[in-house]
Amino acid sequence: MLKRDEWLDLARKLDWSFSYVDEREVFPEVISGRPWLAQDAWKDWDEPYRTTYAEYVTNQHAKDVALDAVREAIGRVEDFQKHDASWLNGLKLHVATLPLAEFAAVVGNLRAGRFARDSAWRTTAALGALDELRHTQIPLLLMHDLVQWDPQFDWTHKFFHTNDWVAIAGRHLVDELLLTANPIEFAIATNFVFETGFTNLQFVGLASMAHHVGDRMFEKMVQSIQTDEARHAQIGGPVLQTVLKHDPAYAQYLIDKWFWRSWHFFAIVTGFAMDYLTPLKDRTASFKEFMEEWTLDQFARSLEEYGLKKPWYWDQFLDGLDQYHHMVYASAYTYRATVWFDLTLPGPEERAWLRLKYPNTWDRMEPIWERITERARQAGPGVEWYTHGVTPVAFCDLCQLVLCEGTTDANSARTYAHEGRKYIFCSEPCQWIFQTEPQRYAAHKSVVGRILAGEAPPNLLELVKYFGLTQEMWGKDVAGGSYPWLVNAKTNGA
Amino acid sequence: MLVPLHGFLKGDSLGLVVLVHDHDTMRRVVSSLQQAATCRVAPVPPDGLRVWVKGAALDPDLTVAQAGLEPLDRIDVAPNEVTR
Amino acid sequence: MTRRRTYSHLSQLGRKPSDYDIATSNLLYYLPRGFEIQSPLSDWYAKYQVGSRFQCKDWEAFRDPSETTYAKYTERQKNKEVFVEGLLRAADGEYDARLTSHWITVLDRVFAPMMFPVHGLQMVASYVGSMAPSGRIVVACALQAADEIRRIQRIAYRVRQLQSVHAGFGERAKSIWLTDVMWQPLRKVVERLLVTYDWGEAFVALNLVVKPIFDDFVTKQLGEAAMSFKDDVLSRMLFSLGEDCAWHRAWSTSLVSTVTKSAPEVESVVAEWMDQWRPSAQAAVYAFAPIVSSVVANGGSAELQSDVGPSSTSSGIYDSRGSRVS
Repeated sequence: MLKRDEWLDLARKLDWSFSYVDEREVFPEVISGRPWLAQDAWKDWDEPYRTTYAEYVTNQHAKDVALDAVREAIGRVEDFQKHDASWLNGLKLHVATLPLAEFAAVVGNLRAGRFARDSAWRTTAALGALDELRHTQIPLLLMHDLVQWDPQFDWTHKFFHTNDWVAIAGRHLVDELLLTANPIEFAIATNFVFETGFTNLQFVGLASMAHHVGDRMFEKMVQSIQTDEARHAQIGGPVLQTVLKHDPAYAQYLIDKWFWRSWHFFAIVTGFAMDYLTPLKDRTASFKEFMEEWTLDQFARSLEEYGLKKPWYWDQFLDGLDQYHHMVYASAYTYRATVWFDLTLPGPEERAWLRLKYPNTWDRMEPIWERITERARQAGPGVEWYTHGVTPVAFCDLCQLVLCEGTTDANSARTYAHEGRKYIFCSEPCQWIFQTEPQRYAAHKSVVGRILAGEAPPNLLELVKYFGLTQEMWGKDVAGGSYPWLVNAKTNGA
Repeated sequence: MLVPLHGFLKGDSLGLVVLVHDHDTMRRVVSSLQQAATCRVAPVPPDGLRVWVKGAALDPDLTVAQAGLEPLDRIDVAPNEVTR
Repeated sequence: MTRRRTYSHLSQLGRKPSDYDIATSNLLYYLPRGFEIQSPLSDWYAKYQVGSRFQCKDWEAFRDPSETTYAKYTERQKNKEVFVEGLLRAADGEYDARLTSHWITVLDRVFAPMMFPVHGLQMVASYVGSMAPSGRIVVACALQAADEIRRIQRIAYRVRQLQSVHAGFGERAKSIWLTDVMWQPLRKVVERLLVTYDWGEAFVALNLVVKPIFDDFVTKQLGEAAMSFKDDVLSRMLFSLGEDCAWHRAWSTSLVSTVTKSAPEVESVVAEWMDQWRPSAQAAVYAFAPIVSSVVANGGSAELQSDVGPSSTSSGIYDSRGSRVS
């Protein structure tokens, strides 16, 4: 048989000059992206994996067989029932945000499969679409049987179809990042920033915790997915390189915008899982430590390699790394009926660990947990409402998440008027993203906007129904408030 | 008239939407926000707290209308002596 | 409350959901709610997806008759590739040296340049997938685009094999595609397909007209010609690639019948598009008649079939081979 490199380029470089239509008609800028360059500028596009179709289907089939074997062995409901309850709720959070977002990435990759400017790029993207289809279907199939046991797993499929505030924020991100991005923005935002920059948090960090917890199913699933991501993430680099040559300011803008947007997503999904929902004994490092090791160092290095600068808000980001997900978690705990998974009340040992890991900032969070703990103790087990907010919360008009940037002393939210409408943003970078392309974001209504417009109910009990939640589904305290440390008043959690 | 405000209580982890009347005093606004955040932030005697808007502490007797507060404005509730 | 057995959106199914049900149902959350942002592509979707005359009350009613999931696909295709690799292993230098120079000339002109139009078909399949209003159509299109990659790579592989025995073989593939009169009608069709942005028309033109005609030419006419020139390897390889095309036709037929069942008025829209595209697609394939005739004259038994379907339909929709699809 011939070696791959002896023949593959014949099949990879298939662009031609059109005679019956115009190149600009075949690749309109609105859908191909900018900078619009003639094909010649892209013709050297290449990536290192160079997987052939035969290798693709063979390898992928083998991966599925391996994953299937794990599923056969340990994928039954009883196997999941053995895990720590709080870990399982981290799992619910993850699997809800995964499959339909991955499917949006199928669409984004298919768009690149058509409108990317080089045939090798298009072909890699088309196989990327297949990868993302795999990542859609695996969690849907793996979690399916768990709904018999725990109805919250229904949100594995349902989440993105709902008006839950996290789902609105999720769609706001995914619509722009994956579903409707042009191939250039997709390559830089998704392949370079999101996949290369952040997903190792999940694939390495969270997988190592899954290993400790003993959730081999989750561990193997994310590791199997990682091998696909590592391959198709390679699309980003060569696209970035060409954009840098022709429009470096735009390249820097996309990096800055998408690093911030991705950061908020991972701060919540991964931050919650690592610093709160993973049992203390199984935490291998803090979210911040994983971020520093797997995102900051590597990302900063690769920015340097490309001659790019760190995002302009880097110092604000570093401050947030110590704080943001803690602010969101405390907020979410006291609004847990607005989400589809249960949250845990961090006890004295957890809080001591958090203080150790976040020595500069944890003291600000401590009074909040003392207060919640005190009320939980007063209420006793089974009483959810006494540690739950009833007033509607405010949302950022860019990221659509709760206003939790800054510190408990100085929340960094900022208001801004644009064309007669008032907006609020959680942070300066969110406002900057909005102001740079207001045409994309200005028409959107946050949950608060919907309430004020009469589209969503103001009363929290009614609002959670609007979010798609019922009492059976909505988030509660993982332990129903029954923590051994809570009954003993002397260990006041302090 | 009801006026929804973006309220930030010092010590809290997030911003809330508090609904106040335009004839409510700042004293009342303080207690509304304290009440809204009570499961996270232990209430302190409200006399020591002020509503802060754009860096200035407002007179506790001022009403929402008198203060010129409009829907979705940002207010902060923090101790009197704090300068923002 | 009764015990939940499946995801809530499948609870009305009335049977135990299959892997296909679980893995392909309701995957596009943006329909009909729209996007959370005003994407630069919002207008594009409004015009070419929502605004298409190809409409269906319930897109979720569509099912791929083979119920192809990702796992099923890679398994099926891996097996096909094992088969083709076996064939190609047999096509060693000796085999290729035995092929007649006339047949090599034919392949140089007709086979090697084919990678280019097939890449165009790959692009259009990707496009239809990116615009389709149902997850199951997206899935079918993504897999179809991958099948076209398979076809391109097998052609490329075979070209390289032949090159090592027949010097210069395939080297002019791109210039033949760009300048040979025989290829220009097809090139025109493919280039026009690339700028057909109404997703419904793109689907109809690609999968009900251009591909059935072109795929038939490749699998049958060229395959039979290969047989007559004792190029068994190519004929069998084309047969295997043709199996993919048969699936493309099957799911497309199923989609059209789903649509016309829910919206009979769409039948005439489909027929209109087919009528528009058929003549040029047929002409594109007829353009190869001279070389296929010469194949026949040289002792081959292959000839171009003329039964590529009625030129217009008065009742029902036919795919371009004349098979009724609704």
